[in-house]
Amino acid sequence: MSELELRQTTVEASAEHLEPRRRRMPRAGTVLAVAFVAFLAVATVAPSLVWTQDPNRIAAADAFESPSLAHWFGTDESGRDVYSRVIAGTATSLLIGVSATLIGLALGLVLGVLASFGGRALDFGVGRVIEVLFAFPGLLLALLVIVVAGPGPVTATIAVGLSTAPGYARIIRGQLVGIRSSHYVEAARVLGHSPGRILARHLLPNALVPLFVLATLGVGQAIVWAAALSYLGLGAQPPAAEWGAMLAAGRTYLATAPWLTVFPGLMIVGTTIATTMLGRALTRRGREGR
Amino acid sequence: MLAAGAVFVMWAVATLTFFAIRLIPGDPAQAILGGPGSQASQEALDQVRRDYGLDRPLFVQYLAMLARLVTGDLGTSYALRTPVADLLGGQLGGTMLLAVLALLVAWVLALGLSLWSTGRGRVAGAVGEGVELAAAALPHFWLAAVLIAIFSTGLGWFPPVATGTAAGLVLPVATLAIPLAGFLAQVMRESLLDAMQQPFVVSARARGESTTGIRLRHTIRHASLPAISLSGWALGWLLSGAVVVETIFAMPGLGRTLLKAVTLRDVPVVTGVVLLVALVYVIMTVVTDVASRLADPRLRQEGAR
Amino acid sequence: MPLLDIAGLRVAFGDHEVVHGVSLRIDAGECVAIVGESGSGKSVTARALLGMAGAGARTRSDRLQVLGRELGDASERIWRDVRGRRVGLILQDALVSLDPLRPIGREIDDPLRIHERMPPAARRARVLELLARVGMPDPEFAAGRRSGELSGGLRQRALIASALALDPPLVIADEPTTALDVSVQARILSLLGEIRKAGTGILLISHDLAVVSRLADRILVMRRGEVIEEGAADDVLGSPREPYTRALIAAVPTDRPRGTALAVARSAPVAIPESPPAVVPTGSDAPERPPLLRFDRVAKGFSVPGGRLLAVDDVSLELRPGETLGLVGESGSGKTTVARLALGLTDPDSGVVLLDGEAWSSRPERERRPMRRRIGAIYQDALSSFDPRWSVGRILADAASVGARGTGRPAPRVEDLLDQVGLVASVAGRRPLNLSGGQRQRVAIARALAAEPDVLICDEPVSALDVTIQAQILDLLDRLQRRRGLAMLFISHDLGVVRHMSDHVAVMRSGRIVESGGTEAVFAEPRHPYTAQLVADAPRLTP
Repeated sequence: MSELELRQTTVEASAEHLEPRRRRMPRAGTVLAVAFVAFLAVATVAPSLVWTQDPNRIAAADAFESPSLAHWFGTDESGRDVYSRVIAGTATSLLIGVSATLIGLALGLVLGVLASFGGRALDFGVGRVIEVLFAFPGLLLALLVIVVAGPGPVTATIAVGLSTAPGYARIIRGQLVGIRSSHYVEAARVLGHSPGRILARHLLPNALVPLFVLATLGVGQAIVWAAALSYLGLGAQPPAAEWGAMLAAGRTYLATAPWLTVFPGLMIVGTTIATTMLGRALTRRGREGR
Repeated sequence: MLAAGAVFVMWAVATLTFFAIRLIPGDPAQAILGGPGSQASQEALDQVRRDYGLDRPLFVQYLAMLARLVTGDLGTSYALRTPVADLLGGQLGGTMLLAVLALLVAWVLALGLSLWSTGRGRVAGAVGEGVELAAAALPHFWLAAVLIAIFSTGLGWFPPVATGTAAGLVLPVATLAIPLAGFLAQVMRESLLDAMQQPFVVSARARGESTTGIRLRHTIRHASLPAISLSGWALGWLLSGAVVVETIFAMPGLGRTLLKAVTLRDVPVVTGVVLLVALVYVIMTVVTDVASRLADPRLRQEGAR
Repeated sequence: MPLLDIAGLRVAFGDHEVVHGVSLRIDAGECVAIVGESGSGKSVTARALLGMAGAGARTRSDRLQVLGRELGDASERIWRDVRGRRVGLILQDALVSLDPLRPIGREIDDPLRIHERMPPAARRARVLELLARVGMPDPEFAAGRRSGELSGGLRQRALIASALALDPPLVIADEPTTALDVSVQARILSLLGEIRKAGTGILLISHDLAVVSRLADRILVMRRGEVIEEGAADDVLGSPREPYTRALIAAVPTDRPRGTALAVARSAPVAIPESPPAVVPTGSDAPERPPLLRFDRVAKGFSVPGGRLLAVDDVSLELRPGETLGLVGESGSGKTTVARLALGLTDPDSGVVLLDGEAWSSRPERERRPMRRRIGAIYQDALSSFDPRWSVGRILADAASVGARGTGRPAPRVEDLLDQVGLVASVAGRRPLNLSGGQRQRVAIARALAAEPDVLICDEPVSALDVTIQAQILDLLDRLQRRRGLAMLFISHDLGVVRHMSDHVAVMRSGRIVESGGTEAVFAEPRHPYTAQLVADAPRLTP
């Protein structure tokens, strides 16, 4: 098991247990999740549209102001607006999360495809590799990578990508094996279709939606892990506006200015929840065949 | 069969760690003497190389490491110059206590939440689902900070740093347990819902069994099965979370030692912690396997056939 | 005093009423059966008699009396006292109807624990007595087993024992023998017969008229939530009044000669076949033609922990053009492995499969692929054989392109394919998920025929369907076979279906063919004792 597999199976299971909808109305949670992700996208592409002031504007007189109408999330030790800094940090945090996911997904795909198409010996070998990598639970593999490669945002990203790869590999292998042994692939073989055609028309299209769901869930998880590494001082460093680094910087002032910690963290929590909800909505849509 | 698999995994973990560590750029002898900035003399470097066996071929070093591992010798810390086994041995207990307490609390929370939120109508179901989703999304480092802000600085109920007392353990355990409870409750609720739809529940009701009786005698057991098999994963996940939690709450333990060692690149300590955690994880996997089989006779049959 | 007396029972989920005013009376020692197809409301009716119609169900009735006690607006507490003590329930498939995690002894003990203050030793003795009564060998040992550790027949007996624990005057049996092999089914039915003889009233719920005819004194036929016909079993089965009842009876294939239509138009009399007698002569008339598909001493084994299981053991078969070969056997007899061998999905360990005189099983897949269009297949679970992302139109067009490949003929049009299986053209735009079971099987047949095969392998093609739908599908297969001169390998556990469909039959048991020959010869005068037993156990209408 890995955290990713757990998230993935619960998403699958919950999509199964939801009652069928009477009307074709998206659920309120899905709408909120889409809105949140859209907001993150704007904050990434054009942060100046949504921030209220220059995130790096220092105003010593305004230091440590608690949240107010002027400063929604309060101000930090240099009087910078926390809300604007959170917006400014979206791009970095998402970039790290998405890159780590792509690394993990790419490695997972290679391992998963090798295991499911490479014959019995390869399947066995890949299975053992995955099993061994799972013996470095959670952040442990990432920490090991950082010992080797040294701290920093780039190595942290790679570290998170590497440590999520075995989870991706096992899920992808399971899905490919499931599709390959499905009755409809067998029916296509009985019709005399070639393996290439079966791959192109049945295997890949049916593997795509679950893969997309998986990537969505993975981004949420990768952001959390990368932020954890930043928080421990091994990833992005303050004064960067990356969410984890902001949290780390706010740690000193936890007793006097908790908003420095609360709001960047809420963004991380919100992103994770939104990706999970999106994953569920996508799975459901895939199930209902639309 | 299980034991052979466990030994294989441990050997592979040790091997992988050994060779991964060799990828670190720079001279290990230099690292032992305090890094490139220390300007250690050539004699000192040679001395260290001899002491640590770094002058021997890589493969010989590897075999020597395996031989040492079998006897429980994890090497000597670069930074502290003390045997790693002694260093970690004193800290394993505290971290394991933290992790096991968190696992138990998470189990209780998850079971309570999933029992409360199923079979009670739509609203309770939606609330349960929302709570699980939110709990599973909470990162340790943030949850710890929020708990400290509320219960230490705000209410003053619990100390913000571990004091070695029971009160000092409350917030660290809660930090680790709440997100895990979210995960476990998701799994338990799904399997409760599944179990409640099974025909054997109809049979039981038709015998005159009450709702409570059905839960106690039937559905809870079914809901516990996946959560039992997840406990191996959960303990590993908690040990990884301990890195963050021990750091925030300034608790002595494996996690904080690991973080310090990572920052200082104290290779033997990092290797030692990794091996120790892997060992705990592997043992726990075997234990949960056995426990799953005890709880579910269907698995025993498959194994026998 | 009747055991059960209900009048005007109505059950609704939300605004949707599914049972519209059912009235029913059962006396001691009487067996009343409710017969209906899926969606008829028969199971909901049965559950409502236990106050268990389901979450969100509203139950109303003019009268709902159990043993003279009115329960129309009884509280859950009163119902709990009724359940198990006054009325017992037996469900389908004890593998899931008994808790797989608990020993069956505990499950049987439950009603005793809940309703009676008996000392544990007395309860234990009662559990063993009950197990002995339902014919469980070695009750002492069996009480400690879980449902998964017992065979299908034995665990169904355990389930019956748990319903009988307190000797309730009335037992509701909801599809008690469905999914059991015929031999087991026969034994369970006779066990229920003994219980009735002892004075217990039985309400039997079933989709299977043949099962019902063995046990019921009176029969109620339900359709769309209403009882449409009711009467003594002999009358209902012997001289049905309602067209629907006649259609149900006509749809039972047992003892109905090959070539007669099973599905009847609503008002048509039963005996007259819908289509004229065969135009294309069936295989038995043309023995000269060489076989299209031939199994020559084929064996296939699978490794299982602790040895090797021979799923197919020295099997030889011949299938000639225009002929149907029925393959009948109980679960685990190796039927499906034969289908997979015929389709070239798995290769034999020894022996050969020949297609039209040419090597089939021994060919490399690359050479076999162009020949594959000559063998089509339909399966029990049609839905899972369709790509979930594809519409019916795309599924059929894809298959049609195979048929056209290499032959130079134009690919058959999707509308024509749908038309020949009796579906309207608009179905092409829909997904199989949104079709009914019968429609899905029609699409599966259309797909199999789109490639214009010479041989059709049918693996339990109607097992998951209601009888009237089953009748339509069997008629369709029969018609298409005659029109196209198809050779068909028809695999089923249902003796009646195989007998109705086949020119020749082979009876399979534990991987071996124990008997084969012309259908009527084999079934009328079975030579092998196993065949004789199968024929004797097969449920048939006995009005």
